[in-house]
Amino acid sequence: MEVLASSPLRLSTTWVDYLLIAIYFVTVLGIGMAARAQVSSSIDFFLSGRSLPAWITGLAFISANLGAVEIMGMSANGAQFGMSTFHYYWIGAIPAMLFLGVVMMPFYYGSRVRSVPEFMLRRFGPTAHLVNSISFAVAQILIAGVNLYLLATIVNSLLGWNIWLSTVVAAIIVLSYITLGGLSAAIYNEVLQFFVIVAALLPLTILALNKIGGWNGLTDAMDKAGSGDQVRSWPGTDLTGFSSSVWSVVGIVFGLGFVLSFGYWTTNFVEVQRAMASKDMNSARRAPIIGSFPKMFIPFIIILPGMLAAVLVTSLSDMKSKGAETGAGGITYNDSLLLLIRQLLPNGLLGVAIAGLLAAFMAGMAANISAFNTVTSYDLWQTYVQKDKPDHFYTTFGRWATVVATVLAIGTSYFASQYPNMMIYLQTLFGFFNAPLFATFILGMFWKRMTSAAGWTGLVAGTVSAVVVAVLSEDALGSASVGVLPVSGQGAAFVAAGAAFVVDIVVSMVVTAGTKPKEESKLRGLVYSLTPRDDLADDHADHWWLSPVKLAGVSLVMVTILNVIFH
Amino acid sequence: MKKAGLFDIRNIIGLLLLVYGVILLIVSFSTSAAEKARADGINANLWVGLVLTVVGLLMILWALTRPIVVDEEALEADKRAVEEAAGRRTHDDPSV
Repeated sequence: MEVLASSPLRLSTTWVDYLLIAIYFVTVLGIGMAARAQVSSSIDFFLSGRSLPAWITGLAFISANLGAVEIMGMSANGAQFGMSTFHYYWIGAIPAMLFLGVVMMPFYYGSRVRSVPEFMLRRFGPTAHLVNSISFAVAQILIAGVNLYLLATIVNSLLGWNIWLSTVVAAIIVLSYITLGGLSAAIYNEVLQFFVIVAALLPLTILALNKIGGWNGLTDAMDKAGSGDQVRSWPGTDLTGFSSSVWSVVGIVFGLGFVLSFGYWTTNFVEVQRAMASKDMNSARRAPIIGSFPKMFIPFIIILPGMLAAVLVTSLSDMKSKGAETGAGGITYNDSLLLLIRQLLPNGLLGVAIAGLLAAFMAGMAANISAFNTVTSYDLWQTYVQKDKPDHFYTTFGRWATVVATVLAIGTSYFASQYPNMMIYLQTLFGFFNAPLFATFILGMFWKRMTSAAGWTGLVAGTVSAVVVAVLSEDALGSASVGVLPVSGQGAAFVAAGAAFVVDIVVSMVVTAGTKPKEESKLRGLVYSLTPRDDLADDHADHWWLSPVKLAGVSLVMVTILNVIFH
Repeated sequence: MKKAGLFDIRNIIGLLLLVYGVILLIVSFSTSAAEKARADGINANLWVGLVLTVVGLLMILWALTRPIVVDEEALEADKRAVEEAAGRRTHDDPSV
């Protein structure tokens, strides 16, 4: 059978696998159509009428993030760098998700804004809002392109379809389920794909662990392969590319753990929009906190299979022992998970795995597109172009924005395909767009004196400094980088994000000193010290698991224990 | 007041997992020895099929015994409040 396969990744699918894939997509499109029958006003379309229970939005919250980049990128990182990749979850996600639920969500949900840029408008006025809306829309299209490109390469290597045909078909399917049902359908699909992904990757991990002889078998095999130190997560020098352990820890904790991750999780509307769809404040606050529990165990079915693939798949372990970037048949670390699936899963389970992967990849892109859609319709078009149109005008406009965004994503997917490493490209983009936004947000939220002019100048200065660092680094922007600064790989992205954060804070403080602050009466609900305590209280907390703060405490203790066990 | 019914997401998850479970169980009887050998003799389709069938049934059971009730009046009131807030913002935003 292997002789017949044209590519090393070509899977031997049978009709059973296709049947399982088809069942999945019929279900998803069916939900879209059913949801459409119930769409009435624009608020339903964009925020699902704020009617979803907390556990659904919690799962949707992490599922929106469980896309192509996470699954392929993190398993690749696991294969290449081992346990230190876990930092992306335990340092780089959980604390920020808890912070979002406990501190930030009362502002978002309580002020009833429909998007993060809308919050910027109320706090800092139109210039900061315009800067933020445009940069956000651009970021979403760039990231949607990455998701689409990865999706198409998977379809291409799994089913053998031409890469352009794969791209267009994938784009059309994503487009149809967003336009058919709006955010409700997208959220339903995300929750559904979460279960399918787990149903495929959990057995894969167990089968692979069983084959290697459990955790001890894995550590022995890694010792033998000369990568024994990779079963420890700290100090992670392989991951950051820093030679000093101390700086590596600083880079991970400050760059990844604080700036990049807080910036990503607390200001990325793709994520926040999920929690905003909750039925009340308590559910909205608990959504990211509930999501943190599955989130801390997801690396065990994504990164661990990557590590297992690096010792179980012969072509991959050969490549790793030589220290090469590509192996037999042109495989790279990006292919780790697919190679393991190919080696272990029988037909049937293989179909479940492909359905789950395709669904996850499309969900990532759909999340980008629907966030782009909200920002373009309300924050740009309604605010600056055509103000006083009836509600249905903006809903129709939103549908067209979706179509345009999908076409643009086909273009940016070509752009993304030019970059050798998706993970670095993405972390760099987050540094450009999210790190300055987070700095401005956190200052504006806790410092009532901060002025409107400081809001937008800080954002622009932060983004510019991140771009400058990326250009000066060795490879953060591929061939556009000049290599003056001796940082590369994911470490360069951490440095760029850190620079954006610091520059944004400094510029904001300097500009604030020279301009006039807003009246305090206009900042109620937007600045922490001016928000009535009642708005932040835990109302309905009859049990500890209904209280956002206590639930977050439990999550924090659990993730600390995990960090200690696998240090 | 009305129940979420078939479109309760637990029913959708339950049905999909149940269908997947049953298909895997059927397929598991024809999983070849060569395929089992790749996973050290474990018939993965059989075990995953069993687990998915049970989880799917539990999801449907959960939805049946504890149905979600949609309070339409509260939902409408919430929608109106959001729209009013949005309208206020576009017409007389004092901050601009």
